[in-house]
Amino acid sequence: MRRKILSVLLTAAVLLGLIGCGNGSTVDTGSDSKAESGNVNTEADSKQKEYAQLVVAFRTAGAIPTEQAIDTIEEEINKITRDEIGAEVELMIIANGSYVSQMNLMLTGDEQIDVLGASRSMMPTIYAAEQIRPLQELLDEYGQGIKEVLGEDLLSCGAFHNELYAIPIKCDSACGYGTFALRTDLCKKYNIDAESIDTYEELTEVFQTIKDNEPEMTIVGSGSAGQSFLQYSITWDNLSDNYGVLENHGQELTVTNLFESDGYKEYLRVIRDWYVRGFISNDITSSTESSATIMKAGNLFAYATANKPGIKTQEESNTGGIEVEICQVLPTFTVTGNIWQWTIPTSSKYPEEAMQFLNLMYTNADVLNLITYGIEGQDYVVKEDGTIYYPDGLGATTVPYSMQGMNWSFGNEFNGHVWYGNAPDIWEQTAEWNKTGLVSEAYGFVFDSGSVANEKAAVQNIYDQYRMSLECGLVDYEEVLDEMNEKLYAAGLQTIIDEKQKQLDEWAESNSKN
Amino acid sequence: MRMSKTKVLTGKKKKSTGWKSYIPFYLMALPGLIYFFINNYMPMGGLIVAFKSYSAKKGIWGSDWARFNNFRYLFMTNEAFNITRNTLLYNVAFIICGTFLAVTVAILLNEIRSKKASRLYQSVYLLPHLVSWVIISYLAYAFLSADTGFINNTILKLFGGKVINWYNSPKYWPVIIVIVYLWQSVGYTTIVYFASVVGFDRGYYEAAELEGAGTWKKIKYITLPLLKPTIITMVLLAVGKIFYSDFGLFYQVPMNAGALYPTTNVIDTFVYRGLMQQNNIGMSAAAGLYQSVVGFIIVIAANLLVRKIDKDSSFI
Amino acid sequence: MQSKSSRRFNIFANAFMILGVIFCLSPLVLLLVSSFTDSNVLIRNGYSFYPEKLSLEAYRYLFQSGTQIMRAYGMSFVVTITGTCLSLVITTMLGYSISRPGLPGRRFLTFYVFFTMLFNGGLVPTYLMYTGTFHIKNTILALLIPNLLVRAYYVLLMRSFFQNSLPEEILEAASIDGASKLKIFYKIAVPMAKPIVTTIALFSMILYWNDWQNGLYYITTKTGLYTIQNLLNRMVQEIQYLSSNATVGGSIDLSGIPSATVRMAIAVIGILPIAVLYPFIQSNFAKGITVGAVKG
Repeated sequence: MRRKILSVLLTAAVLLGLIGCGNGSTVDTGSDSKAESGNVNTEADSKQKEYAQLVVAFRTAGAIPTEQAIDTIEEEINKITRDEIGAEVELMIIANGSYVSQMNLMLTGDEQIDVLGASRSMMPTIYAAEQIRPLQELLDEYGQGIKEVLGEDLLSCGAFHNELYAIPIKCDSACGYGTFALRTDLCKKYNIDAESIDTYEELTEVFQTIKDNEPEMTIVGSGSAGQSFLQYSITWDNLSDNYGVLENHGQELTVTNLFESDGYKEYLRVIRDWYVRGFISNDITSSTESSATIMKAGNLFAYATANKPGIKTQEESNTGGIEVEICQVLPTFTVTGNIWQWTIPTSSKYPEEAMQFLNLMYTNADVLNLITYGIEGQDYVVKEDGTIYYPDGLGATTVPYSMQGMNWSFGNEFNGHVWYGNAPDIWEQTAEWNKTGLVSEAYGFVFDSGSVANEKAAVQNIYDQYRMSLECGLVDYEEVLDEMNEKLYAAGLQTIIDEKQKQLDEWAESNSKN
Repeated sequence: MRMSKTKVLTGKKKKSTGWKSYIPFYLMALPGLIYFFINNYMPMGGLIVAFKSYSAKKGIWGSDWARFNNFRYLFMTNEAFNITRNTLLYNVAFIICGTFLAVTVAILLNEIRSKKASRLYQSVYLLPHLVSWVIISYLAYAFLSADTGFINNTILKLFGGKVINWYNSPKYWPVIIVIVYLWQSVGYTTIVYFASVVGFDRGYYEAAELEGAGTWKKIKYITLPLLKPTIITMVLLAVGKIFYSDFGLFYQVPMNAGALYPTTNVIDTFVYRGLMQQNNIGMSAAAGLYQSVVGFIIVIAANLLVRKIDKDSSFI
Repeated sequence: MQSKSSRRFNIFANAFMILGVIFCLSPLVLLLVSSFTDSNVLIRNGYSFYPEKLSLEAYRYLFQSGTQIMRAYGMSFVVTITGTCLSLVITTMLGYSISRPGLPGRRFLTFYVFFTMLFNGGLVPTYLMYTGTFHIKNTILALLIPNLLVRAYYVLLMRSFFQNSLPEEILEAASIDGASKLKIFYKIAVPMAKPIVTTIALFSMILYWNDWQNGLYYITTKTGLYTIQNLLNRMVQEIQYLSSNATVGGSIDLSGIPSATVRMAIAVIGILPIAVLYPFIQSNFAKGITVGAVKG
């Protein structure tokens, strides 16, 4: 008994002590007191003027910086924003894996977020729940810079039902589909010239050569764990999900069922052939490693990726230094990608300043570099050729602050530094690249799936059931494809297709596509 | 005074004099009751979002009514039957196998003469429960991987059998899932039964030994009957969750492999997969409500059944 | 004759138990060995009890953020111990009181507790309530209170135990001797209930130790409040996310992380404290007070 009283008292003491610590800086995320927690003393003079406290939320790949590191960056950014737009920022950086769920919680709780980075999957929901604001007026008044940077075409990708709700990002929008990274050493050994590979047939021959000579090796893998080769083998405009697409690179505005199309069947034929010949691993449906990592481990010859300027450097860093050759067998193609965009939530307290901040981020190289790469000298150093890299002795996980892996997401990466390993003129190259290839007629159209949420949920379950084994060649598609289509239609696929067609027609009319 | 106390202890209700004397009990119960009110009852109102078309601007209470629209996706397809069947069958299998194994292990642990050995066994059995499902899925993969898995590599070598692509063959998974479930949970469930067994009055056993009963007889006529209330309690508690599944077990362990859906897709994974892209709180609340309502009906029925057998063991 | 049958039984029981040990332990041994395996070897050859090449790289990677891990461990200990103590006190009091036969409203109260196991408002309303009404976000209370502090399951187990395994005669004897209800509770009932109290304490400890969800949803800015499971879970999620989204437009240096083996090392670190402490807690399962005296 005494022991029990003791333990209760002990508990109470510990608890009180901790509440004390906790309460000292108890924060409702988004409340204004947080912004200068580390630097209150030095800010005495600037505190006299009332600054709008903006909460800027985005996600990160990799380690989340410590509070102190974030505070330092915020302070540097604030030095600029105080003068330019009369506001201070608080950066809310959330891990990739939990970003969507945490953001949804916060938005549902109406917590203050002024600038929100939204992924493509988030958009229909937050739009339908009226959690984001329409942006046209704000853009017209405070977003001149953004307009100039993005241009009208790109800007139109942010419109839902012809109203602007999101600011798209400017990045590499043309996607080089049908691209494969091949191990350089094996290419050299068997006299394979990657550059000359232009079709799936030629690629299959190359794979066969390797297979004959290296029987133990897995020949080709998909790009990411859990994805099939379809991810990078696209010859249709998928209109944000694969349920109802525009075949033939979107040259016509008729929405059809992807899974009955010739393009899809052709893809399946190729992959099934690869599997039967033994090019594809049996574990592909359950692997948890990306193909680059598997190549690094030594047992893979090639994997799928998407072409763009600088891809070789990127993949070689993913494989941990194993050199690769790039070949592309499908046309480059541009669609309304929208993997990422910037929005201003309904819960924002300072929407005008928020738009001004976005404008700043899109146009001001200092702000962009601060938020992306950190502070010069501390988080990165500039090399002789003008590119930047981590300071000596530091790496991706030990540097105080670096959003390097997400540099494309801050709106206008073209305005920022160039990362080491890429050609110094990479941005010019990318701009040129973006002009190449086919462009879908539906470029600029964004599908709002809110009204078919039920059908999407049902269809998703069915598609997921067949997806991996079908699209990695593990089953004979001739037997299975009809079955899958039957179930998809039963789950409401036609409803989704019809809805897409309807929205597409409306969009085409109001944008007078002639 | 004493008379009324005795009457009270035999379970008869006594009105006015009894009431005040129970105040200490009510006070003791208060913190827990308040907690449940805050943690469980207050948020329950939020279930109403299952019937609404949620809009952040209007908030939960102000949003428009959607009636049963959010429930459609649960019943729209043939999947509805599959996922319900899977959920129920697995839970029944878990309850039966799990209880049987846990009770057996608990009794054996108690009978083993070396207390040190008994403690060691118990510690080891508990360990699997401490591992997260993600890691368990990797360990399962170590055994079941098509190319490098332990099973395929040993079957090949020892019996010369055909290599099986486990993650592509749904028919084996009911057994696999039950085995993994037992591995993860038996050590944990055993603890409750063990705690009960350990508390039984030694007097009964000594009396039985004097009359020449062997170990099996002692277990059959003393231990098991004494355990009955505990077993009933545990089973009832499990039955209440019969429409829920352990998400990690059904999502992570099969590596989210589509080919395995027919035998591993349960209500919870179906909802997650359908809504993962969308995060629609109306629809996920609808799923939760469906599971709760059906589970509720089943549990009330089970409790009424149990009341007939042993009145004190039921929860109503 | 008796000792022969019980000896045979003992051998049988031990054999069965040892089989169980092999069954439980082999995957865990695999886990441990994998965490010390070279990452490339692991991916190439799969998981094995005799890997080609051993390496400490996974642990080296984890302890790079050494102070963060230490701090998270500390946080886990504080939260687990505090939470378990509080939880025990409240749960035991509630379980005991609703087990008292003749308590007016006993059925209602039991059902009140049981009902919470059936219906749940869901994550969003709970979250909204705790952050909007009670403002516990980013405080340690968020790690202690939501869904963990009192569990209906434990309360009902306690109730069941107090109801069935506690001889009323002793309690009656004590009350006839003039002891107050509260004294009977903590001086007699609780000590006799040592097995179940220890059980609930253990369950509670595991629950608190393993929880990563509260940290995920409620701790967004005060990263110092991460518990070890929360931290480790974030790391695993990151690695999984990076593996599944390999070329999302940018150059994410996944190659620097020995991803396969780090996940194993993470699991080992997560289990270690409880695995080590459990044998010490076990002594409390000692048999309760012999009740033979009263019977006589």
